[in-house]
Amino acid sequence: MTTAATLGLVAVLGPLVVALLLAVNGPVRRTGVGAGALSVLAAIANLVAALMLANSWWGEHELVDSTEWVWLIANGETIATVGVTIDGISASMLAVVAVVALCVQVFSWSYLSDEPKADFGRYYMWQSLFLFSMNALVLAPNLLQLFMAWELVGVCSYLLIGYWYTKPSAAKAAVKAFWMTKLADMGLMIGLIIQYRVTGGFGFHEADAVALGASVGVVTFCYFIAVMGKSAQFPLHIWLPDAMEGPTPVSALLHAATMVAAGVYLMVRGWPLFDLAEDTRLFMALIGGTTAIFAASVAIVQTDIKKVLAYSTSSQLGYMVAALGAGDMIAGYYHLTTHAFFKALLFLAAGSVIHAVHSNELSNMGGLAKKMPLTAGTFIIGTLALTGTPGFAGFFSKDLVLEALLHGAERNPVLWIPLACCLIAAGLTSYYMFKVVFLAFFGEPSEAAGHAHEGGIALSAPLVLLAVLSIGAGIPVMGALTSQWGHEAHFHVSPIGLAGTSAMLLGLGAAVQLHYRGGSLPGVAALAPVGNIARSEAVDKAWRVAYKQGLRTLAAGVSWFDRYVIDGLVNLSGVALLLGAGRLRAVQTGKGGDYVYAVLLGVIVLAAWTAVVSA
Amino acid sequence: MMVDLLAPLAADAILVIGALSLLLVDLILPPGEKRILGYGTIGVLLAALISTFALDLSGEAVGGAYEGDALALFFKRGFYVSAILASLASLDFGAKIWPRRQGEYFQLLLYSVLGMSLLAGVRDLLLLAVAFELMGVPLYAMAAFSRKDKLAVEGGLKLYLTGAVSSAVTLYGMSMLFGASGSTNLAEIASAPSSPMLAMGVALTLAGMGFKLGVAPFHMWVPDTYRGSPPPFVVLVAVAPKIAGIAALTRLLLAGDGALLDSVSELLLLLAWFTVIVGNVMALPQDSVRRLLGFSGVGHMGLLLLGLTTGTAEGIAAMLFYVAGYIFTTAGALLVLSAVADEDGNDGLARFAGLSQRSGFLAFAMLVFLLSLGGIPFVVGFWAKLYLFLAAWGAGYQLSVLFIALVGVIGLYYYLRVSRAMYMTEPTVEGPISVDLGTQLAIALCLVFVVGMGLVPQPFVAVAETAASVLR
Repeated sequence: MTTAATLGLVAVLGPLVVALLLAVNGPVRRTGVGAGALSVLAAIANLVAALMLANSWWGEHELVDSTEWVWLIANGETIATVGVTIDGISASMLAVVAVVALCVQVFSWSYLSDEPKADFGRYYMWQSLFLFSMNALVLAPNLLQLFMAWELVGVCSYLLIGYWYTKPSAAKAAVKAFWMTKLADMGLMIGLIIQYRVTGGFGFHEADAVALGASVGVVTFCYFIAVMGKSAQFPLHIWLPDAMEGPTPVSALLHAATMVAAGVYLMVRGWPLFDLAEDTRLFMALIGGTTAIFAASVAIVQTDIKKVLAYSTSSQLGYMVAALGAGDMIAGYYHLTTHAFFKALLFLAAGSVIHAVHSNELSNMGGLAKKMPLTAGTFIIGTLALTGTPGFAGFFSKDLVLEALLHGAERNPVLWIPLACCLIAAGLTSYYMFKVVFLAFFGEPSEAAGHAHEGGIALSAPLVLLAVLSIGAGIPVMGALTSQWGHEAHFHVSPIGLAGTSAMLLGLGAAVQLHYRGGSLPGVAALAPVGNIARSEAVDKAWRVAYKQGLRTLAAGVSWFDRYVIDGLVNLSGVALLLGAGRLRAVQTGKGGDYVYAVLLGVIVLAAWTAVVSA
Repeated sequence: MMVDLLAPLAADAILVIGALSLLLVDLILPPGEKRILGYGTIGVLLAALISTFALDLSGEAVGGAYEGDALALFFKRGFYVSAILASLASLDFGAKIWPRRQGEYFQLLLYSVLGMSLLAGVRDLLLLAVAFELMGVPLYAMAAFSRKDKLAVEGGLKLYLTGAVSSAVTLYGMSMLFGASGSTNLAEIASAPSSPMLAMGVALTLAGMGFKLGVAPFHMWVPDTYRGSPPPFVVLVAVAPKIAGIAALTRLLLAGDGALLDSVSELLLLLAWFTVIVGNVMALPQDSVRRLLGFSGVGHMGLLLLGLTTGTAEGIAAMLFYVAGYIFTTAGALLVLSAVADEDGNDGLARFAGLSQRSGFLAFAMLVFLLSLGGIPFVVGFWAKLYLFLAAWGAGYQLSVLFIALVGVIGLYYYLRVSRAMYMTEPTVEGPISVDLGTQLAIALCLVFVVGMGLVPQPFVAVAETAASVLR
């Protein structure tokens, strides 16, 4: 076995060993701190292994190392193999997961320090189990292993969302998230069955794509159904906002940076297949664009800081899906990596705020910049990255996504739709994110915010690290990614890039105008003349009218649609099923005679069927 | 000479000799020491199980009415294992609830298992009919074994009533099969020219066997019997007779060149679809976890029927692997349930509330069994489903795979309800749960196999393939 494969195995098995140890050894788990220490140690080992792998990939550009063991042979053919595949994609994704996971585990240490010891230990057991599953997913040498790990991360998500199970809403959200994603997962299962039946394997390489022939369309479409569930794409996104019932660090890791990105990762992994499936990709682009603008609109009217971030995640995943749909794998994957850093940062910083004010509601925050300068600073860095402010990581990746869509639109005019969606969504994103910044960190502090103070080193160190990555991951990652695939993607100033930045500035302007009440804003003072015009009564009134009658009404409408129609349909179908089943219960009368009649009825049906068929 | 003729039935002979010896022992045992009979029964079953590995049981017996091939061995092992699991759970329960009648209970159990054991290699209609009744009649008595428990008597009576009607229908169907082909040999029946009478005979026989399987619409007894009968008996009745029904169907429909299967394959699919819907949807509103598992078991029968319908070597192998997984998963879940239900047999979701705090072992075991029933990876249920779907898709039943896979997701909801109660609610009853050693051992065995077959499925798949290769 090569060094690379050994490192991969360390990354996968380390957390598994810890999770099993904690599952079997109750006393260690119940110490709490001991369990946490073991879990964090495994996460550190994982990070070291991942960085060593990423480093060797950085230097050599082409490192493909796959070690597989046969797991199941049936009918003389190999059904399942298990192992690790190390190449540019998996090594870089492994590193992203490792960084965020370690940050989240360290952050959780302080965030959950008030929890009972046994619960603390349970939390870290599941964190380790999740890290194992996620690494097994990332390093999967075939789509079947990926699917198995995919199901397991779903189970971990269920357990972690329901961590505060004494809250009924948390337990309910956990069940809903699991059930909805599982329903979508059937697409993946059916797709795998078709792929196996056509090609005799579950590979994701070019040869497998060619072997699929005409079936590549239906197979990738099935896979994409599962992606829609996992990566919260419209209309299957509805579980993600509910999943915010889990602890905030869990939201940062699973429901922002890694697990929800697994759907996008599946498409990147299986890119040779998706590359050939023109129709599926068009569908992807449309769904991605719709999600981007839809979720961004809903985010505008959310008053819960985590819900804003949840819809924002859904929206950004829409960008990735749209870019992939437009045929540019690198753009989609690049946005995944930068998004992982800055969205994890935003969630953790939000967690730091929630930890301080004991509320998710924006109305309970305000003026926190003075009390919590580090949290405020890092949150703003995350916001700048997310909104695509020039120079930050998100700027480069969003630019690439927009360019990908533009290139696509030149070939297929339908792609103008997702492009327009993504451009508008960029403006909306900038608006709702800066609105959160202004409401939470500036203005008058609320009562709860008055006593807020910065957390300890365990809370702030992850924030700083992720903030650095949100600034710095731009150019070097793009360089590495593009050199890996020999793809021309230099950054250059282009009309579409300018359009994206303008949309972002427009959103910022709207947010300043409508929500900024913090006295002098650094930088704005220098632009006093412009500021004066911007603050003139006429402009102000125009903004407010446009906001109230246009944007806000629209967003409220979209949000209503989301809550009551899409979510309502999901809930309604569940309720209808339950009610229907309750009615059917009457069939089971409990009277012996009725049972005999049922048997006889069955016999008659069978006999009649046979008589008709054989006649 | 006589010995040679019966050699393939050595395992069955062990059961007969063991049962009769225990009968004699029962006579001389003082009332306080009847417990030994339970150990004796487990010993007899173990001996029979070991004989399937240690002795050469191949060849024909009873004038060609029985053949000990790999498929027969596979089913026999399944019956013995499920009977051992049920007996382990019965040890303490029997000693407590019916201390003087323990001998009778285990006698009945052994005779029923003998009937199943004969079904495993049946080649003749007459033996099929006799073995089927030998299996069924003791079960009626066992279901109502707690004579003072109204629910148990009711459940037993319903089992008996519907069972009697089904048996009548089966016998009627068999008489048609004989009438149409002029033979009781299954292979000869299969090669008889197809006629309406033959098709009707197969359909009626199918209806009768569908009862034992708990296939909708012949499933009505399942939830009531599960709910009312003694919990250790439920462990038996939920697994062994159902697999015996599958064994009998496999033997009948795939005899000869499988012509009988072709004549009813559409009918089987119809039953499979209907069964999957009924099993999954009706499980939703249940509060009693036993009834819930009863309906879930009905749903799983639909998958087995799908495997049987394919009729291909791969499909049958997948079905057999599914059977092996079903034994340990279902028995395991019902064993946990028998430990959790209170003395009046109450097994509502409330009994499961906060189980993780009352007994970490039981809650974890139940979680694993539920994951397996739901088809989540790394436990046997995942491979069983995947393998079966792969085989059925390959055999051309795409639509059925799609339908059954989607309906199966509904099922996840009720598995989630139970796991949510165990892990995400506070207990309504305080104090740890004490579980007797026999039940603990049985649960641990199930756990080992459910996880083991999930991690190392290969040997079990290989055995299932060897068994399936006997057909066609």
